[in-house]
Amino acid sequence: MNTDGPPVAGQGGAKPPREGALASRLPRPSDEPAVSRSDQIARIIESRQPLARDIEQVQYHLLHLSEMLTALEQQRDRMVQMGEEGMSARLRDIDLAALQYKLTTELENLDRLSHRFARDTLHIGVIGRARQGKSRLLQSLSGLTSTEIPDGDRQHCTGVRSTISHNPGVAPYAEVWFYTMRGFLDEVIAPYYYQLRLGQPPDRLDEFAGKPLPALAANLSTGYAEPQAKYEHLRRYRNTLDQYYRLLSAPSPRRISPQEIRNYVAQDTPDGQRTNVTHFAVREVKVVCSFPQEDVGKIAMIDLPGLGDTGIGDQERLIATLGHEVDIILLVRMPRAAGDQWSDVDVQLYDLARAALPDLPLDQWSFLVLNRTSALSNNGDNLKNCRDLQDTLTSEGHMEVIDCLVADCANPQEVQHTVLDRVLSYLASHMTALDYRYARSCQDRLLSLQQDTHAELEKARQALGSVPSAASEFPLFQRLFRGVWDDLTGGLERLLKELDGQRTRENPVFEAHVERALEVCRTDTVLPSIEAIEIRRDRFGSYEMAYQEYLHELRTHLTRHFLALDEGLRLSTDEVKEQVAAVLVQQGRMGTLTPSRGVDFLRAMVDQMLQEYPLFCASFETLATFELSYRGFIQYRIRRTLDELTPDLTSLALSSHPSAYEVLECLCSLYHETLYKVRLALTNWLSEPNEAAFAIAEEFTDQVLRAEGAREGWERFYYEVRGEIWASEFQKFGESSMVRRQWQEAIQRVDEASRPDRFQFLRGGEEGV
Amino acid sequence: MTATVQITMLGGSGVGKTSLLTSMYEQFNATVGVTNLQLTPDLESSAILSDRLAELKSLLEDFEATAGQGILKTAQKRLFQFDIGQSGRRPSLSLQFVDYLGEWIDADATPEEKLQVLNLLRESRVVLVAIDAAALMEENRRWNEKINRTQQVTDLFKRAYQGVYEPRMVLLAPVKCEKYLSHEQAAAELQETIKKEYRSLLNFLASGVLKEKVAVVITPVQTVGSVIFSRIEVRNREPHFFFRKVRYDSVYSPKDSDQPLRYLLRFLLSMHYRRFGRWLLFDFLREWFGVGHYLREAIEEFARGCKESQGFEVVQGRELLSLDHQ
Repeated sequence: MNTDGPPVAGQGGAKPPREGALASRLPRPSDEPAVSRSDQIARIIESRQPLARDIEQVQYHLLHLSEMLTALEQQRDRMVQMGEEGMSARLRDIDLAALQYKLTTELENLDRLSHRFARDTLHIGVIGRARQGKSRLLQSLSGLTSTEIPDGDRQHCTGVRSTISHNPGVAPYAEVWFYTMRGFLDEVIAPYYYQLRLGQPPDRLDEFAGKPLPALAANLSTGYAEPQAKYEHLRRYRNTLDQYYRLLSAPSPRRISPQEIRNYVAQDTPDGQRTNVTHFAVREVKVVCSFPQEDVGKIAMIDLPGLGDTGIGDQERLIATLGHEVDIILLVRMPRAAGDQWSDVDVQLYDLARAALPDLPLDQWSFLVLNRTSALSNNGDNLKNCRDLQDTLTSEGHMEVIDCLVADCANPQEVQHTVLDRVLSYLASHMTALDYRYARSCQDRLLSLQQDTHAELEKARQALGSVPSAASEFPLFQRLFRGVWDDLTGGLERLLKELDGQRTRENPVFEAHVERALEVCRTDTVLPSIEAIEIRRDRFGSYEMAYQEYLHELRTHLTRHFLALDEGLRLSTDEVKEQVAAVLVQQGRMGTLTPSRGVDFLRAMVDQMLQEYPLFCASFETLATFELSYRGFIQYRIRRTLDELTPDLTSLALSSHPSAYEVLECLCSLYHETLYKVRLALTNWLSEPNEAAFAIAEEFTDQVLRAEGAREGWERFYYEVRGEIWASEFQKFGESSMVRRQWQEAIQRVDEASRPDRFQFLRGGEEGV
Repeated sequence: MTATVQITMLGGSGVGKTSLLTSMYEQFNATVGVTNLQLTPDLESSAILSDRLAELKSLLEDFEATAGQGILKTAQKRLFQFDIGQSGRRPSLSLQFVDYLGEWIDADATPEEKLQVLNLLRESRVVLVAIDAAALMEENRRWNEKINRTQQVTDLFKRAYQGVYEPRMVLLAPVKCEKYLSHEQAAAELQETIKKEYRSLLNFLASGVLKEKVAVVITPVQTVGSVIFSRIEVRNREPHFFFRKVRYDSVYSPKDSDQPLRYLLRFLLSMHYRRFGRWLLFDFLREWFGVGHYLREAIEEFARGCKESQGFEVVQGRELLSLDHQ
């Protein structure tokens, strides 16, 4: 890196903001005159990195807070259904959705901020409408030519974004990044469908190519030029798809020589004769070269697509790129020698840039470059017009920038001296302050979000009010509990007895699945044809090898069909889960605790009710997740029956003079023989699901009813949920009720997750700023 | 004068009694030739057996066959007569195998049919019980009763052997048993299963006076030899037994089908040596064996070839098969 250049003091038109803690952590360029500009830039970049990490930490905390808010919201919704009117109204009044919305917005802002601070280069974005000299400016800045940065003398430039990085001493090269098929459909094509109201965008490339384009609605197709132009543009994307679709699955990046860049970004060949659509598939081109200017530092320039083209995605892409990637903007404008003034389109472009980074006033990170042309140019001498526009920038253009520079964009010396020097010096002296200002405004909003969260939490704490417990409650509870305990134990015992009686019987659900699988195997044999056998024999040069390969195929074909038994096993185990759940819901009266039933009831109990009861929780979980699988339960038992279809183990070798017919007959016979053996093996296990069902139900009953402390545990549980189980006898949200406790815990978790320090990435002392 | 020995073929319908007889005859010359003995069927038997042999061999033309479909069922009671004697001399002993219609021991047989079988059994000195080994061994004996009629066979014996006072021999001959003789362990399993499934019959034959008078031998016969059990397919609730060749190029090669004959002659010779004078029914043998020393020696040599391992077993009455001269 060139470090010989003289440091340039800041001379910006805008005052730097007051510096707080961030600035104090960063080097102060003005205090250290001996440091070169490129060193200053390097230090800026370096000092940004820790901040990027701190921001990531805060992002992580905010995501956690978002989860906790979601949990609180779910709990709230559950309680709204249970509670009486007044309480439900108070619960509904807690505006958790607004908090979530703000949280999401701030997460996006932080994403931009951390992206900016994590970069290892400072970026200068160049924007301007078409034919204003943007490409010329970039050529002059980078020392590249129209070969690498095509200019739009004949046509508009394309929408391909390119980044030009300075890397001293490196021979120029470029990397091309293509859209993936998905990215192309979502980011390029879909926006046309939405904006032109063409209905559902295509989901696959062949759909886009194969179906005719939907017609443009009558109200869009008549009278308005822009929708028509956009529609034509979309039509070009579609009609030329065969010329570029292969690139959508090409690997990225593709490294190319500078001479090839034009092929990927330009609409026409250098001679202007042929049109080129390769650029439709290109997302970005990154050019690396050594800038001619001395003491540049780690700088990249981003050539942002020209406005005024009809590429729809351009505007959104422009804003996103500016927000994420750009530290300083150069707005390029070429005044017409024939007479010019500030117009709406200039202001629109300015406003577009402003929207990209609302936290930072645009006048502190943008330069206006007026492209001065000579009398010999097509435009003629426009110096006077440049001066006019310069003078009326604020008064008529209503735009404020750091500085309005006049330079001939086609003149490298002038550009480097008048533009680049000025911009780099500004970057070196002001970037830290700008970063701080940007970070500060994000930080302030986060702190305000933190306060909002606490205000809502306060409402949440008050929402339940206090419900006094009646003095006579406990004896009543005890009496009720004894009843439900007897019902529950009786119900489970009866179920066990019933399951015990079915243990040795075939499970009809499983049996039906076994029969179905066997039938499918019987009818869908995939036995080869004589011709196929001959072809394979020719491929291997031997019937023996063809035979062996077919044996493998038949065996795997057979076992694949048996994977379908998983469903039968699942249904058969679901049955016992449902039976147990039904006893818990009916005899155990737990139906009021959750609307879920069957297996979902068991899961809901685990997730929502039994967290504090590890013994019960584990038993419910075990029962809910209990599964018999084909692989775990059957596969090893039928493995031996497949021996005849295993080349090394089969008893049926081919004869010494085999034929395709013999191969087929042997395969056919062995296939059916094996299927027969599998059937015999499986029919031995038809009662196993019932055995398993009994075992798991018995285990469950043992653990939840007969383990030490089980009755006391249930007594405590029922006491906590007494209001939900015996609604007419007890208050739902009484003191020491589970629902009240869970609500308080959920509030506590949000409280914990929203501590001020969790929101802070600017540390120490900045409160005073 | 020609002596006649009557032998009943017993077993469920379609089990393979005629096939057993066919392979016994077909293999006789192959295994007995050297001993200068000759087995000559009468003309009618010869024609039937030739047909049956052709059928049996044709089983091997296809790689796979279904039992009962390959071979036609016996249409009516048939009497197969073989004259056994020294080559070149006038035969002097007739073996009459009575292969009756399998359905006659089925549940829906008429009383007359059942009585015929009963009488036949009483009159026969030797009974050859053909057992479908596949039905016996496969699917936990699910199809055994339906096909082998074990219970009915046992009941027949119980009724027929009341008051029997002459020595008899019962040959339990599993057929279609190629799969179960492929190795020692399988053969032992076959033997065990027969004893288990025919326990009631064996217990009866070993009870009281019968124990001394009835020789019981298990003689597995591989009637085709190169065909093994493959699978059972149930269609319309009826089992279809599938058999396949052990190799695609296998040919008809029955094994041990000479064994029942060897045991049969051994039994007769043993009776002769014991000179059970009071058993008049065996007197005819004296004359026959007495014809020539040479014939008796040939028969004795043949009879000494009885197998007693690899699935073969003398279950009881070993002394009734003794060739010791007394």
